[in-house]
Amino acid sequence: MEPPIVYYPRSEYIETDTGNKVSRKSVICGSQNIILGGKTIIQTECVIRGDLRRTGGGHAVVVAIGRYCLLARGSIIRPPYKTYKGIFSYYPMKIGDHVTIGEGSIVEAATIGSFVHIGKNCVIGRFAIIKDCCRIEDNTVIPPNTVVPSFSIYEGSPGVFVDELPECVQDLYESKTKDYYAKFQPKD
Amino acid sequence: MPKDINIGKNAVVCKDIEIRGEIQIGAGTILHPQCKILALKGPIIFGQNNIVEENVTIINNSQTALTIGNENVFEVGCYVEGTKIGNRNIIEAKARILGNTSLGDNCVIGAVCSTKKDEVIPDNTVIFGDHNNRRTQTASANQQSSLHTRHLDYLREVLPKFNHVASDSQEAVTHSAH
Repeated sequence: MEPPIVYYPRSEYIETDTGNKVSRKSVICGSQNIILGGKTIIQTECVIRGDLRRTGGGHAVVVAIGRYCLLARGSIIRPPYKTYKGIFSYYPMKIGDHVTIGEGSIVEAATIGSFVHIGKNCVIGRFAIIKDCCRIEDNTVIPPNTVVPSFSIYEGSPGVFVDELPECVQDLYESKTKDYYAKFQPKD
Repeated sequence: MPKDINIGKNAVVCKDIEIRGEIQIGAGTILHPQCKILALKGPIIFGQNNIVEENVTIINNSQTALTIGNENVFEVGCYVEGTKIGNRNIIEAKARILGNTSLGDNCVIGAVCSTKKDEVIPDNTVIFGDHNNRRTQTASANQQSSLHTRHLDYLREVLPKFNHVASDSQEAVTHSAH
């Protein structure tokens, strides 16, 4: 089924040179520590915590997000924290390409691969690792330190493996995110 | 707009927050940006060294005060009504404490779990899973407490670098007057 064209008020979004569309009503803390890969959409009321960086001097990338990602309304990206050898620190988070994060989801993962779909109102625990080509259903809670393998569907609280995805899912998610980006258009 | 906000020593209160009514913030408590503290009728009184993360909503709908103890962690997006929160509790992401519930010490309310309305939750309770299952915590609180102290130290150092912070009560009051 063809998804409809989504219109947004032109004044609400800032478009960068690389085609990222970032809502003015989102909260981006520590923007100098955040990398967006291009053609990524960050919708209203999202929070990205780039300020929670690793202790120690120098420049640090806290949140790296790939291309054609969608952070839907009200989603929260915040790096995970732990103490290691007695030193407390937040650790960087990496998100791959063609990743969709649903409305109201909270992500504190260490890594999210490419071609991942995260549903609405999910909670991804600290230091969870989500591999490429996965699907996390709506309202799932992925506990801290979980590794979600490729081509799996996770559901429930705590999230458990429920089904497998077919091999074509990479192409499916790629065309889906590209399609969404193309159909996310300004309107005056 | 707030009549009364008291901020204790060493507390870090980010300015991008919504606060209403009479609120006391104890020494060392940290409020991340985007949290909502709404004392609609009675006051909300924070103890020492609490951490309140973003998109947390703490509401007091009753005439009596909502008292929050020391060293509690309110994680992202949780929702707290209630009458009393004890010490060293962890309210995880999207958890909900409803009605006139009162919470003891060392409790963990798991992610997306919720309490019933108007209960009294004893010390060391853990609420977890799909059906809000309960058990009693056996792990010692020492490890958590040392993590918490370090977390506080870290946030105290880092948050003011990237956010507008009101750490003195004077500043907070002038800000809230807008």
